[in-house]
Amino acid sequence: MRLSGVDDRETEFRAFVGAQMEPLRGLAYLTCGDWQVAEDAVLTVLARLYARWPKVETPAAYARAAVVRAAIDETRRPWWRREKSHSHAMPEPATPDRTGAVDDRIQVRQALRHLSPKLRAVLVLRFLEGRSVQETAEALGWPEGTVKSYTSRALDRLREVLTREGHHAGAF
Amino acid sequence: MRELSEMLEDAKANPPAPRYTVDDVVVAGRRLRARRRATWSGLAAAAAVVAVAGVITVPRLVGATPSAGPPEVTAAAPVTAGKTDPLRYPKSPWEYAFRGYRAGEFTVNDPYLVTADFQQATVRIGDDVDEIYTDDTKKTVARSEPARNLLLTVYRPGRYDPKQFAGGEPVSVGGKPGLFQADTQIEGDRSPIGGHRGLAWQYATNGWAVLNTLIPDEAGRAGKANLVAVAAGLSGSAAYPATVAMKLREVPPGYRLDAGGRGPDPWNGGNAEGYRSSIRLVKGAASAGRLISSMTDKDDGYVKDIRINLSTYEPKRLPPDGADPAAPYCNTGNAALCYRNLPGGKYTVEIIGSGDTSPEELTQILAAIQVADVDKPATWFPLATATP
Repeated sequence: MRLSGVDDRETEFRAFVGAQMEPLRGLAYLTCGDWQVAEDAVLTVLARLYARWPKVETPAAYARAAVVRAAIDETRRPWWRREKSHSHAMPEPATPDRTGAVDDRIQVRQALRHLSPKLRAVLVLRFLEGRSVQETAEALGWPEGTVKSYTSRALDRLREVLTREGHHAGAF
Repeated sequence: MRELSEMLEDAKANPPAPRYTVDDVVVAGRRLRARRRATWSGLAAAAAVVAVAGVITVPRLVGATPSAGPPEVTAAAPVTAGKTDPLRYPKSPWEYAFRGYRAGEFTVNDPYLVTADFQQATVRIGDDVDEIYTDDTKKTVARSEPARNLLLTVYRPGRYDPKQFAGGEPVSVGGKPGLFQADTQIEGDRSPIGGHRGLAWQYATNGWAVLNTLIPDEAGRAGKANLVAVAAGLSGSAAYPATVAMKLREVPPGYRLDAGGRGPDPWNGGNAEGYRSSIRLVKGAASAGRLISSMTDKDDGYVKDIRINLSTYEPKRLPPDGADPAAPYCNTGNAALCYRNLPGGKYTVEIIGSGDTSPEELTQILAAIQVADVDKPATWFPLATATP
């Protein structure tokens, strides 16, 4: 149930942001490949959501789709939005860990960098969020045919890159 | 073998510490809400806005203050609408057909962007600004750049299909047929909340112009009567060339000039204060179909383009350690985004590819660009000659 008073609404909004900010940051990062840009995308979406809080009926679903779109937009915006500051660049571990998990993570992250944000967005919504082609198309505002073709292109590209890098990509 | 979902889940694990807190989000939300309501018409109005906006501290202001640009470059010199002359669209694809003007409290700026199919100008209402900054005592300490409330697009005759306005209310614009719509879907804005008023009218036989509200108009100032008045004020001028402060000496095979002017299209930054010039190249033949919107890059992902923007220098844009500061270099997180800092440290040229050009090709194009005296528009190059 949504609360109605101004103070109640702000309390509710703050609780929502507290719970959702981190997962949204992850979604945006997978889409744009840059933690700093991802945070800007999340901030943009949540600020818009604040201004519309009383009007949006399903804020979590709205925010998750909107943050993926915003992450795409951030990569297309003017330079002040798309920068990756050297000072904020996330250092990657220089040596492999014992389990290989960090190695795997870095390999997948690097492979994703070979995909455009639009292709990454489709992967995120289809395979991480588990949305159907139709739901993904609605979330991104694209035709279903575009989503299908992007999915195919994104998977092909990811397989190609991971295989080239010696990663086992046969599962998908 | 691992499932893709598992790999994606893992790829976002172990993030760096977040930069923003819940408080930052709330402050940003308040500021956004204030921006939509903001008008700058004296202290009384400012005080009201500040009350809505809440507190934005001075340190925030330091990062948000836009750099000042020469007014002759970034601002229009509108004239008050009087007798209007028929607008005759130029034969050249790279010439402007009108000048800025005023209509009531609306200021139509000079056109800043031209494509083969249309040219665009931004419109400001009153003294609106994008954002108002306050300190801890709620005293207004600064205002940001002028707002771009509406967008005026004048299409080349025969190039626009007004089907977005098919359900619109017929109106007369100085005796010419028009269609007003209270909620017009703007491509590029997929927000679930509408409120974008729009007006399409025929400025000439088979020639359409469109006024769109870029910011949802909560105050109701962009109502039908006002939009019609702005439209009626549009007057033709002698055609004059669009100019840019840079000249390309190298263009990859297959690419052609698609758009240019003092900034990119509104969805990629528009004529924000930092911009001085913009050129967009597109690979392949020009589309022969009729347009239903003024987007220069529809979100189909198949258009291969290269965008080159000249803008004020951003201090955080640092070349790699030890590199020649004048040499082009690419963004560490996006190899399709490269820069060349111009001598003097005041301006930068950036180039953005869409995956079809390598970083080496992009930096080669950047290195070969000839730059005019950016602060002296009289030295700029006609867009028609700005590509080989």
